[in-house]
Amino acid sequence: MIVHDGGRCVGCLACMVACRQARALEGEAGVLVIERQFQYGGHFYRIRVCRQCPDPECAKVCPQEALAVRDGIVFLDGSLCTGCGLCAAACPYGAVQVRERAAKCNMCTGRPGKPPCVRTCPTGALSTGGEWKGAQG
Amino acid sequence: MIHRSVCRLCKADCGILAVVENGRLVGVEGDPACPLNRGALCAKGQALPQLLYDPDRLDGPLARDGEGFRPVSWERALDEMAAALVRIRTKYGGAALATYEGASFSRVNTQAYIRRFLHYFGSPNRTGTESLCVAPKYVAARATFGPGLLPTGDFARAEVILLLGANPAVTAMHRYLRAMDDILAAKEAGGKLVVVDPVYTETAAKADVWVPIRPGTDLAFLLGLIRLVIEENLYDRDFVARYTVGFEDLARAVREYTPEAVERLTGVPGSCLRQVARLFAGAGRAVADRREGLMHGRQATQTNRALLLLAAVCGQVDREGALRFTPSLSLNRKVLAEDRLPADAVFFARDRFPFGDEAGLLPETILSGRPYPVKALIVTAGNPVMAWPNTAKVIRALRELELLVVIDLYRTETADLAHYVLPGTTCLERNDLSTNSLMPYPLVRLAARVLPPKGEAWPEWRVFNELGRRLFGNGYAHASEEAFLEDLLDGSGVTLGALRDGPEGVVYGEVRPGRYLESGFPTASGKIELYSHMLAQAGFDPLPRYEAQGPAPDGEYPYHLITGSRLAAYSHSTLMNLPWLHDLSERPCAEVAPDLAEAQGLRDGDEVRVVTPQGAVNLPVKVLNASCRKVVLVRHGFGHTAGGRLAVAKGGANANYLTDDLANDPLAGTPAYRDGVCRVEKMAQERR
Repeated sequence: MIVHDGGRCVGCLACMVACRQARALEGEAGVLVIERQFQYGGHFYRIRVCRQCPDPECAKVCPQEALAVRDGIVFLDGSLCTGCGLCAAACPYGAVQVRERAAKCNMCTGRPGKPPCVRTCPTGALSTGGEWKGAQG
Repeated sequence: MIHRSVCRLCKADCGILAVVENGRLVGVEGDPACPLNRGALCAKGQALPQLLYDPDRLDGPLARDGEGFRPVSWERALDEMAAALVRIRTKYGGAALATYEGASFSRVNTQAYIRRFLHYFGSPNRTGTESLCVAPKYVAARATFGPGLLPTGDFARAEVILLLGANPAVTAMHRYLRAMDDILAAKEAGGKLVVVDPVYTETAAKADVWVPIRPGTDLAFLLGLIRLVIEENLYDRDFVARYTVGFEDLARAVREYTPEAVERLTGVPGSCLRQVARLFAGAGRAVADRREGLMHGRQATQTNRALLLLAAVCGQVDREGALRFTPSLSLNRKVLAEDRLPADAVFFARDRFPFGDEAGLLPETILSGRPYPVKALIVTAGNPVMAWPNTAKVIRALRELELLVVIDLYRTETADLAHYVLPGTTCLERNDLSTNSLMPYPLVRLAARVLPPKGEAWPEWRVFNELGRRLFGNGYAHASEEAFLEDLLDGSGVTLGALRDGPEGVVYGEVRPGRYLESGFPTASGKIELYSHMLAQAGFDPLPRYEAQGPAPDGEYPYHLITGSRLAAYSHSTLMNLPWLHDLSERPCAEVAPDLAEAQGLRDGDEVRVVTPQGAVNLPVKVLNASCRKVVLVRHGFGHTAGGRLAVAKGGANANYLTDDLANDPLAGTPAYRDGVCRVEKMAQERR
């Protein structure tokens, strides 16, 4: 999953736009969100993105069986999705977004190398953790 | 296909890889091989594809037609512009033409072809954002170290980093995108970060010490620090003796800035001043650095001087982990054709401000006719209505012009007042040279064109080349943009071919800490001038001295007004039409200090009117949870009335209705965007 270091994060939101740019190629909206609670004495930056759960709640509720875990990543098959929104409701992290169809992070496995959000971060606050295995390259 | 280029949405000039498939840009990312950004790219750079294909971009040239515009061919537009310029020159002289370039657009090559054009025309009046932005630090550096030496902080190797008026977490200080990465690494290695800023910023949030200083008073703070490090014997005696002149004068000059005096002027407690002085002077390697917050006060140049003097007396100049100098690339000055300029042609503001180019003073000049008429203005990738101080006056002045030409991506607020609006290029559609000595690396790159200009847009270079051909004959023009760049690079040791072959850039020199300590500084004395001969000769204080310029907050205008705090999603008033960036910034507000909010019974969302002697704007309030007392922050760049549907929908207000074009730093002429006074009026609230 995409791992976020709140101490290194400066809330610049470059990762959010990198996600939007990358997914726009497939006609999809961005799915990564950085929430900023910025104030003296208690600021934080928090990521809201799919945690690639090994036994995901979203997959359990999907009537179309459009969600499945493969190689440690929860993939959403958009062609099966009807946009019912049950997955978004079930996700404990608010990491699924629904417009006409559901959208969630799939670690940009279609691209070589690390995901664009990780590569674009100016302070190295993002990394891929766990046993994520990307495409060769 | 992957192209190497350079993002030019701000001045950090990140290396980028642009992916083009079937003639279409499909992706932009940071170039891992570029030492400035090392593969990172900010939110703005990531939005380049949306900028390139924005349907609201200008399709082709427009000519004024009554209240509106009609499309016109390039040939027709240039012919008419040339005729108008000839008429204006005949009637008023060549100096009646001025130019202005926007911040993100301006590079060494753009300044070169625009100055060339002006010199052939007979005008000395090139302006750009240097005068609105960085002139105070340029003048201060020249006065202290000599010409051509601009100090930058070596963050990665510092033990203590003292930042004033800087927010690298958001802006990378317009220097290099990894600046904050380096600062955080220095912290992780045990270093300390001190941030001096009236407002709690994203960088202050990472600091060990945040000093909420009264706006415009940093000079007193710095003089207080200098006094303390001298009094407590914390300064570097050996460094001062070997490498500086004027120490005795400086020691005398700072005597009055006791911690009590400094607290009265700045609001900073004496205990904090002592803490910072000991921290900075006690470090083996320490950086004292600054950005815009120190450029936009009424004593900006002397404040920058004081910062450099603090670093100098502590021995933190021309060393690793301290302030370092990057040599600049010498380009072919003959391209500028300075010999074409009449000997008696004097820059319009030279008698008032000897050191800068004063874009913000053009409206006063246009309206007053003094020192001479200015009747024509060509604006390239800039938006004076949004960026120059005193918007109401800017609009009045621009309406007085007999010829206003705007080259831009959009029909902006300034374009709406123009006689001709010409479609410009994004950085991906034109070639520029990327080099400046504020980068930590002596790198020059061809900031390459990746795609042909969209629609009928021309590279800006070509506009001036063809206009010049009409006015001055074929001998003026270069055969191609490549020919121009080759001419500009002639004699520099770097060729266009080498830049094309090495798109990652050519290193033209080296950053060698200690080289100027060894060989001497290009000053009158050959040393670091604590006492500045350059300033003394020009009739200014050779040593910094705190002297309040203009009214303090009181009576009718009891609060400090700052405009200009930065946002990560935008750069000045640009990029506000892009959907990918639209939800990344908060609703534009008047951000007010908590003590002010309490005194006036203001809560988040209340509608207020912020009023200055220049004008007023209406905004909802946001109460800051921490800041210096009595401060009002109205961020500039908002309040679009043109430039695309989303930009207008963004709302907010143009902060420059509030700012004063005649409140300037006395040396550099830079407007005091962050050192104003205002009042706040609570409006009748709508029931919700």
